[in-house]
Amino acid sequence: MDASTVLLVTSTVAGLYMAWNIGANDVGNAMGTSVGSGALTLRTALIVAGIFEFSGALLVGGSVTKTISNGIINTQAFEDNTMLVVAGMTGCLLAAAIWLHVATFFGWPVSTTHSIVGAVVGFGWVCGGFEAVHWSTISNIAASWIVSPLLGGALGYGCFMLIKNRILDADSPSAAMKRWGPVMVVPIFTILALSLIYKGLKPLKLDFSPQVAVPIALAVGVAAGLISIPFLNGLARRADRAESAIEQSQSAREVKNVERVFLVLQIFTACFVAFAHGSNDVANAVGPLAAVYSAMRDGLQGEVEVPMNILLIGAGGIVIGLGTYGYKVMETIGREITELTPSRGFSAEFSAAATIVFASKLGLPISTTHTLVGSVIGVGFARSFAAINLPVVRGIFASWLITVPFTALLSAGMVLILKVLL
Amino acid sequence: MRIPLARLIVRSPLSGIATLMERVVQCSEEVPALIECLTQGQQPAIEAKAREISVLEGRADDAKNAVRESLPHRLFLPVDRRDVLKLISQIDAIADCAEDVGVLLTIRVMEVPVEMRELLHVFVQRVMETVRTAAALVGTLAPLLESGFSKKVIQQAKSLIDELHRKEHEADKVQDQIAKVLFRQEGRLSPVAIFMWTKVLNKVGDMANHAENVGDQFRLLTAR
Repeated sequence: MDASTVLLVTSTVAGLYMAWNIGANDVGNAMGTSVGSGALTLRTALIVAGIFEFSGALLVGGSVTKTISNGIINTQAFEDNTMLVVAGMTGCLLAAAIWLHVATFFGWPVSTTHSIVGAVVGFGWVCGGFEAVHWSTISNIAASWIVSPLLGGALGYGCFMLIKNRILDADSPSAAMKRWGPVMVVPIFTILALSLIYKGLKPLKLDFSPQVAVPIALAVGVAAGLISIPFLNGLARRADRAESAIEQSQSAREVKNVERVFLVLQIFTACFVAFAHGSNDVANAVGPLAAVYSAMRDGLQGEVEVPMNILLIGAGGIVIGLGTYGYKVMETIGREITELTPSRGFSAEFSAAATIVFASKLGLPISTTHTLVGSVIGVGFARSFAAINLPVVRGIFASWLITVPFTALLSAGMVLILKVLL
Repeated sequence: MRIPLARLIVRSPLSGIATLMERVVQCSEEVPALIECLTQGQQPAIEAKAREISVLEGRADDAKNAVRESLPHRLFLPVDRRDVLKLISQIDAIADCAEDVGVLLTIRVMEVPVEMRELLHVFVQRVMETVRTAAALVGTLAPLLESGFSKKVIQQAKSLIDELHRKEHEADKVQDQIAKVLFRQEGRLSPVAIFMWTKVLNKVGDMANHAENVGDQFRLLTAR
């Protein structure tokens, strides 16, 4: 067996390992909030996550993948040393996956995205020199790490305040829900449709320009909103009947009924989150792998097209990780954060997913977990939780500072070892 | 398994305040019985009651310390931590005053002038009503937190605070009346008795004052 076959197998295994890590860790974070509020049972959450992670990864995962495989380092700086790029990307995957495994073990809030970006930077800098790294892309990515939790938080705050002021605090929450429910369905489906049709369906050879995509997405959103009207009314009616009128004020009862409607809406946001996560995070495993394959096949050309079968490996790895370990993470989060009522869970998930989808469209690899934590805190700023544990937030800041340099060093070390071995 | 997101939201550290209030009410509810023993002149019963109150006050103290320990700086709360701490000490002060009343009555054997009996009974009842209203107010803390400070619950709390002010005022009025009756007897009572009566009445009245402070402190929690 020659060295290139060994490297190909190694990098595929490393990519799968990375994808497994993503499925095991991140997906649990993304879906746990729905389990906590009771919108999904562990079983349905697993099914929903499996389906939507897979389709998100496959349909929209390509654009972030390109950034990871080609945007961070300039592969042409490695001249014709194809093997170095192949070995380097393999080392990156291994370094990031190992770091993630260690961090998971100790419970540090690190990001899969930060790990892989750090690893690729480390490899590029050590083996290709300072110029081999696209520092402007890096600064964009790093900025997005700070902006995305902030944006998620601001959206979460705004979304929950709107729900609180317009619906929960209304004179008749049930009536307000009937009025506002369809309005809230519109943005969910608009953004989802937009992420799908605007460059999302490229693998299916459907590529719309923004001028076409935006109106179509809006139409889909409005249609979904209109369709939801009878459903929401039906739900509200059923909830009204289900509740007995003992020892509760009219409005407290109505708030309970409204929360039941949010329980259903949250199923949509859960799908949305899983889809967004798949579309953004599959790249962390698949990006380096795509670089390896294309280097092997075509040598070091500029543009790397992401082959479908590689996305498939990533998507499959994520689902396997979810099935073998991720459900435990999901279960733990679901058990721990029962304070998240459906309306709060909805706000947090919707804003996180919208932020992630938006960043994915820009090709920015951001951290799903950090964005979700940002959104939950944003909801918390609306005075909706009894207490938020600040050390977790501080841990996130610390992990921003530690993850990138550490995985950079680790991957540089890995590549140097691989170079000696070859 | 330590998962960051699972540790992000902490179970309410403020739920202990309800326990504290409950114990303070338990402790205060013994004061009417204590005063009953006083009017009947049963000194051994007074001493037994005072001891009982003291034990109950100790349990309230335990609850207070438990809440304080559950409020480290590392928690981000929907209310100002300092306001919570002040609220706790005002609730606790009610029980402290109840205990003091018991202690004062064991220091010196006191006799209730006949003219004061009826008023004393009314006074203690008014004070207790104030304390109970404070307890009802603290009872809105759970729905307040649960609903994310919904306007309706805030409104409910505010009307209880207003009620608290009215009740404390009622208790004050009776206290003034008793004081007048007491000093009308100044020729017949010994100066020491007058001195002690003043202290006892003030301590009972302070229970209502602290209950009112609970309301003011609570208002700060709801306002932001």
